[in-house]
Amino acid sequence: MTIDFPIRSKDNKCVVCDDKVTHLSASWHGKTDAHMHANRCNACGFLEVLDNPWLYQDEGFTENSTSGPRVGNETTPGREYHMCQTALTAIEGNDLSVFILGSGLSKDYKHIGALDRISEVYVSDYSNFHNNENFIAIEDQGKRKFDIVLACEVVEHFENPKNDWALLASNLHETSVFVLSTNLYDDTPLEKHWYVYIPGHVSYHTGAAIQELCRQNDLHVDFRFPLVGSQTAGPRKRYIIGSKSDKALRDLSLFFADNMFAPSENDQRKK
Amino acid sequence: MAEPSKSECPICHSQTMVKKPAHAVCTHCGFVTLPKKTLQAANTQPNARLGTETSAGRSFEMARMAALICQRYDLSVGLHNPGMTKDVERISKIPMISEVASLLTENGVTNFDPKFQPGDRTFDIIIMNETLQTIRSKDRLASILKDVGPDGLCIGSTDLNDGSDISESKFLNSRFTGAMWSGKSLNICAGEADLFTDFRVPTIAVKNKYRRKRYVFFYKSSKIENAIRLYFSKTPHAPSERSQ
Repeated sequence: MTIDFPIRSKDNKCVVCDDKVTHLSASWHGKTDAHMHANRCNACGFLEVLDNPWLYQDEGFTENSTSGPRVGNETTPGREYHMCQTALTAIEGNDLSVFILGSGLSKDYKHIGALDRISEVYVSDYSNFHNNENFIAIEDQGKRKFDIVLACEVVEHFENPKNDWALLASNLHETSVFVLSTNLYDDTPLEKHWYVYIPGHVSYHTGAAIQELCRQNDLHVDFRFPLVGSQTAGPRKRYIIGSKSDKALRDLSLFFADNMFAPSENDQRKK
Repeated sequence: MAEPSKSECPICHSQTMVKKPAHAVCTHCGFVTLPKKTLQAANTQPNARLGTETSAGRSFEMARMAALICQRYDLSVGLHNPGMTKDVERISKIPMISEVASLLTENGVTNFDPKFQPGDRTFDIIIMNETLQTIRSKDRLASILKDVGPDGLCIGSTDLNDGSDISESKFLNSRFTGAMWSGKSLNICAGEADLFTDFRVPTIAVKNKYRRKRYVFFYKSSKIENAIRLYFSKTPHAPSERSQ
């Protein structure tokens, strides 16, 4: 049930900042039998979760990624819609283009497309689940730039963070804004972080790791707490909001003078 | 119906200040002022917010957070109009902090030395625990913000005008409140002092459902900006006194 005493890994280095890593192992504290092994960076704190890949195209979606209020359906917008609303507070103009990475089965592209200031919405994933005519294959990212880039519960699946973040950044122009949603590692005991036991979660970012990845891609970044974090998603849920333009992030800060939380789905279910 | 007459806003200088029965509000920048109200001197009774003999108050939590954000030693702290806080000794024990002083303006009360006035010197950290609402002019706020050191920061806690109906606000009717700032009005003043702003929610606001309560961060350098952002990657809300 407890975290094993960490030992220094012999060979590995951090996949984010190249510093030395420490190997650690933990077991879930609850009734479910689950274990995890990881390399933790001694500098940026990034947690590379080992042996936890999940190939959606072969193994299908987990329940968590297909149901519940996070995923938009025909009638009710999900988190991607609210993330787009967050981005709109930091960006000027109309006729804006939106790119949703890892859109999965969410129908939020429809709700976002109906917003006044949005003119087009493109989606990307391992497969074109909705036969969307505005579909971009993952490897084709960067061929055009978008005003807003969204990735809801995606970056924790990044198997090669440096490359995957660079690919994400390739979708941005000088004033684009991206909003990502994920949990951040805060150094508290991993036996209570169910997030790292979920199949497919191979990258557990820290704020410092994300600042380093953004530095590598000439991006400014900020961290904001979404409403759902105060409900079912927990205290480690964050929106990672970034741009090449620091002005955009400073403009966004004003939104939080008037609002306690970043907009998200309103999940009133009991934990 | 005739439109209410509008006067010039003292903060954004637009002709958008609308007079209400008890206050005046700028429809452009959101600044609210009660220009004729006589403010009572700072709260002199120790309480949960000010810190007591046995429990840390908000100033301590704000100063500790600021020290962790600054990430260096020998920090000087100026407590703006601190009242009878019992937090001074606690703050002086924070290892990164070497000096704690009072920073007094009119109506300011303190129970510890040394005392300074705005303009006397700079500080690495300035704490304004519920004192922004006593400041009713751009010049007075500017004189305090001038004292923020190059890699320093000023943190103020106050209620902000968030655009919702403030007519029933207990905060606005408090005998200590002469103004209610908005994010935009504070951002204007900060910009004129070559500072940036950030706005974060203190824990007490969530626990007690004070939806307008914010910590306002004023800072100059991108180093401090990134450090503030990194701090809030680790915690959802800013620390504050325990709710009662």
